[in-house]
Amino acid sequence: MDRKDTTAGLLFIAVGGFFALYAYSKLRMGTLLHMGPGFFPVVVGVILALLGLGTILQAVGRPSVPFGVIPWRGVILISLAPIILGAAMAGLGFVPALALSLLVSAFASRKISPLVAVMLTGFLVALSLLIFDVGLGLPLRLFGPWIGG
Amino acid sequence: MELVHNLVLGFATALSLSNLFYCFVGALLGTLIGVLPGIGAPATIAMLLPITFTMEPSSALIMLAGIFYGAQYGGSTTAILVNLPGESSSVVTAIDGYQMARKGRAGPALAVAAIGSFVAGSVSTLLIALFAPPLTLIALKFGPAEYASLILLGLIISVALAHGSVIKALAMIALGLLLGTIGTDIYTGTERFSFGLLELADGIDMIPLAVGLFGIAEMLRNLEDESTRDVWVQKVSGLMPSREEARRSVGPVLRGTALGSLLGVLPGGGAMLSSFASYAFEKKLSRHPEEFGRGAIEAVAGPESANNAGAQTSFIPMLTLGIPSNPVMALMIGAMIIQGLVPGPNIAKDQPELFWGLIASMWIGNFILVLLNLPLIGLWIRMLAIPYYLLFPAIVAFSMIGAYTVDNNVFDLYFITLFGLLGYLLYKLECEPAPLLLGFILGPMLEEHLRRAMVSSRGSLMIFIERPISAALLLLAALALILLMLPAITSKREAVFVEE
Repeated sequence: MDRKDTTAGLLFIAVGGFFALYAYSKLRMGTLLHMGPGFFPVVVGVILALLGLGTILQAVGRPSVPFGVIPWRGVILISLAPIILGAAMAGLGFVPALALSLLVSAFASRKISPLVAVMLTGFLVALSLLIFDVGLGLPLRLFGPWIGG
Repeated sequence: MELVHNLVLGFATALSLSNLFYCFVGALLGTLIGVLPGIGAPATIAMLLPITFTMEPSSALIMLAGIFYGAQYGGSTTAILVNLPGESSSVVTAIDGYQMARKGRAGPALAVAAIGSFVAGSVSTLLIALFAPPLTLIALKFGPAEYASLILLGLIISVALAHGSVIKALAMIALGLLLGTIGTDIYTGTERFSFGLLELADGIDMIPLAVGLFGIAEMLRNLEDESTRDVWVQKVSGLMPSREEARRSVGPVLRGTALGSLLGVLPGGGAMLSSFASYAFEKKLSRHPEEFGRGAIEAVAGPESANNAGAQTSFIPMLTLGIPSNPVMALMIGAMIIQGLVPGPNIAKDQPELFWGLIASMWIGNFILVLLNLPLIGLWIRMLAIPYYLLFPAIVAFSMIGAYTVDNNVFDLYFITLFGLLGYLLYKLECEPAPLLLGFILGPMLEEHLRRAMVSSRGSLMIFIERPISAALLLLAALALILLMLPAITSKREAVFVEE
């Protein structure tokens, strides 16, 4: 069994099944003439689940290909960056939140030294300010209430 | 003489000082990201979409288009000089281009690639100008049934041109369609799959989705292997091709242009498939097929012209029908929507300056690119020396700010993480993200036209077969699906992507 394809197939069945069942139970189906909000998601959800089944059937009898390395450090740190910015923006303001978030993302690479990471963060924050605040004049709150801004 | 009148209008728009500036910026940025591996045109355009918010609509589209075809040029430079295709469409160029460079013929290879691209860009720009207006007229007659059938056909053809398993590509479309249903149903006002979250009532925004699927996922892929790239740059001496090289390039450039123009119109096609097809075609046609892979100039001239022609003509379905044929075109549609325009046949009618200005700017952009690329090659090569760990925090920064500033919603930031992880998971499972994005963009359109068609036919599905254009489109879709499932085609398709 090809493990990649069985995993993909299970994912399709789960997602398609979820959308179809949720739409069927919570939304109005309507008729062909007046399709309700549930009609399209139910049909497409069922199709996705069927394609998932097909993917699994195709995987039978095929050798499994390894998933390969996963750069966990990068995956975790880069995933954290937007969450940090989102969570800290209201309190800290744009500048400190962006700096914190970029500093975290910079360490996703094993090759970067702390000094370079700090310098890079400073450069990118300055560049972002120049483009988005000075240049485009976007309404960004640069410093937030947590730090008296 | 309407064509002349239209082209004059177009050039007048494109040659205005500000549009010329944005065309240059787009071409420059495009070349830059084309040279740098690890960031592609879809991710860049997604990041920059919010910036275009403040621009004139024509300037915005001109700049974004410049990024798209500029990336084709930049990608071929690194493919030839260091065997690193910066874009997927220049993978083929690397085969013989790099061999030419090793024989000391890097200059002519670069020159032929640039000139071939320019010829292809000019011809296909003219083709767009010729074929877009009649197509627009046909499209204006389309009713909801025709649109629904056309979108279905487009989605199915896009599968043919994705890598790997057909079933998985179809599943990616379905997944995209489902993600597109999240939000408020336009007919009844019912909220779908929003789980009571106010932020989901308007649906998922396209920018975090595209930035996550293409930008973040690509970054994680690059972090899998951080070994330093050994960039051994060939010295470029003399750009002029010899008389013999020039003679051998003429045919491939013209054939590549024709092939690319044709394939570019197909959904999912565009640049990459065109270059593969041209390589295979030239190899078949050549009297010296054994030279292919060892530095045949035909194998640079043909694919390079084809990928540029394909990139260019992929604008046709987007401009005339409002239907994107690849992720970049999907994002261009997003840019139009941000600007308050309704993509589709009405653009040519109601916004002739925008429509013809964009077309004219492509020709100007191609000209700028020849000037940018050939004399500045040394500069582009030096870009390759920038270590990746310095680049990706910049990509993270622009992705985040881009997604956030669309409507100052921190929720969009969390979506970047969500879709970045999804994109990486899909990559690990060998599922392509491009059909997903097409499904996501086209899903709401498909559903709307489907529902409108049903109302107009009083609930009879026969409307799709009774109307001739719709029936023909559906027949094509069925045919495409059957062909895709045939084992002979399946193995051929895999060969095209794997072998070369």
